[in-house]
Amino acid sequence: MRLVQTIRTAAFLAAQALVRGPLGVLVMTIAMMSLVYVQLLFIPSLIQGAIDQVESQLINTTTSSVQISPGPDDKVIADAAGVVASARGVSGVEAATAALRVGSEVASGATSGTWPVLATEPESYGEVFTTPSNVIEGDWLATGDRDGIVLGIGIAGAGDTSRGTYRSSLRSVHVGDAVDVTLLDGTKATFSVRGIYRNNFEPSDSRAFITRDAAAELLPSVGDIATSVSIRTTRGDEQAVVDRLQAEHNDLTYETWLDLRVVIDNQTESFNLIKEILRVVSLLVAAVTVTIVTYVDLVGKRRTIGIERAIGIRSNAIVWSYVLKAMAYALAGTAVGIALYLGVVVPFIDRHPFSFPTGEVTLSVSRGQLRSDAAVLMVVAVASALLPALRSVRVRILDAIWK
Amino acid sequence: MSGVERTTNPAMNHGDMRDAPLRGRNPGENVALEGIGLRKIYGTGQAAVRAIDDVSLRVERGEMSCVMGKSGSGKSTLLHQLGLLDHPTEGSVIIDGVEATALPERERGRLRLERLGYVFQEYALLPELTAEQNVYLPAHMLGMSRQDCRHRARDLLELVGLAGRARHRPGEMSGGEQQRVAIARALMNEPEIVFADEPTASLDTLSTKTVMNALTELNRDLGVTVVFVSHDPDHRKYATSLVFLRDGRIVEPYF
Repeated sequence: MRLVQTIRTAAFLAAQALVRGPLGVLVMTIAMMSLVYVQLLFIPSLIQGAIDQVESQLINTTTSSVQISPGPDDKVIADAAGVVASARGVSGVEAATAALRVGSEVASGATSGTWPVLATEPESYGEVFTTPSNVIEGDWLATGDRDGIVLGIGIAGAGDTSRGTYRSSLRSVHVGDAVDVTLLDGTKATFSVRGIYRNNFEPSDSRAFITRDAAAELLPSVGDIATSVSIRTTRGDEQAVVDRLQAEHNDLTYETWLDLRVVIDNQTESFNLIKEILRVVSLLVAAVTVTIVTYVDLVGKRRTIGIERAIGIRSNAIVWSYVLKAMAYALAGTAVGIALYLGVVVPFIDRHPFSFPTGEVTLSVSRGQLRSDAAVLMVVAVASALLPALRSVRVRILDAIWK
Repeated sequence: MSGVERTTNPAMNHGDMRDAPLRGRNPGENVALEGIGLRKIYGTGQAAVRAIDDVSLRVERGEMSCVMGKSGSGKSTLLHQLGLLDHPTEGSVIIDGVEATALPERERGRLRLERLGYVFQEYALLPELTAEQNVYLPAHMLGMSRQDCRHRARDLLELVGLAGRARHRPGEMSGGEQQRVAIARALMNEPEIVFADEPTASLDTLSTKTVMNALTELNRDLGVTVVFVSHDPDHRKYATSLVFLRDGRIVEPYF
């Protein structure tokens, strides 16, 4: 009963202070809380955006959602067209394409290097991967092209000395130039460069592509074999698709992009570490800011607290009134912060994304992060109000009123 | 003093407070308040100042007792010790037979809330509350319903002549009006003793008269014991008993 009376009086005092207190202080405090909340969200969601971007690059240019490779005892997938066809019929699959690794060395004049050369069907490859849309010079391969090749910027170099991979590339190959490819059987074939692409993703920018028709002409044994089948699924359906495909072809090896993300683990681990460090810093900034605001409020209310105690208002009720006020500020600040963030900041960054080495990065924020940061702000606000409020009610009543 | 009567609201019956061990030692005695050997020393060593020194006094129920003396004589300090707003360095305060100075702060707070009322020197109202809310805040703390709070606060404001100012905030009222709101607040929980520390110090002549009349009426008509501090010799006419202080000591004890 006493607790109910205490909370009731605390709520009354807090409500009156909020409603009847200076409007400017109320607005500024809520504005400050909302900015603290936005600052709590911003850096982590920017870094999450960078992580998402790297993961998208991995899926869109390198691994696809699900990658099928030969079984442990095989070197190739024998019935590639059959696997692709049955994959396309599986629920959750958006597109599928087969690729055959036909070469490992590309040379331009005296300069050469070891890179994978893949034979693909140009159209279906473009349905699974975004590489064909990232051509910066020339065009992507056309079906039936028998002497054309498309090179990644990491192979061609294209005279772009600013790239880190320039020195290990062919340096200045452009569209129309001829390059020699050493095929798997040791023979060499000359191709004309049709296009150069740039995914801004190191693992996928050092590949070369020819058509399956060209490969079939050069290597008659190619037939219907493939070294991989890549499948695009709706996000989150990867494992379900693998389960369905395994029922039909249980002699193949299936890996989702999550299994293959080892190539980006270093990057994401670093991003996550930075994210956590900055999150702690943001939390400290939030805690200090909220504490200062509450402390200043309490210093200004010293006499009021003294009067309240003198007329018998329980100390707990006074402390609770400040805690409830801080909670109200935090709630309002969170609401305004969410509106500001989702309504202004995120759309603005969507229109003006940050340029990262892996491409353009926007903000990525989940409901879970919105909730957890709101909870964090609430806890910080309560703690920041509680400690100075407890101190205030320990001052001598007469000192509080008169000094 | 029409319009305000002792309430029958359970929240105002102070049942808890009347239980042991707070129950008076001598229930039959007509003593509302007693100070025994009160001493208050500020500072230490050479800098020590004895604000009050070995002061003993007794206030009977229903009295209107005035503590008088020059500035710096220790009047307010004495009132603060008697009203449990401060701890004496030595001595004890007994309220209704209970040695209040020995109680923990939590119980002293209960005593202040349920059995004592205060009117401070300056208009010690909460600026964010209306006059009505300032008046009923102590009852709110005791669990009285909002409706009952408002009714009683209105009655008390009417008693002090401020029925029309219920919804005004302290900043919208004169000093005299604020002090009368403070008197109404002091009465909200039907205290046995009201302490008033130079309640007219900041008021003009007309307001002074109004406030002193209000205190006199609540003493006379409601039977509330009043202890007030004043340095104005004219105010002795309102008192039924007087205590004169000089240099922290009673120079003319009244008992």
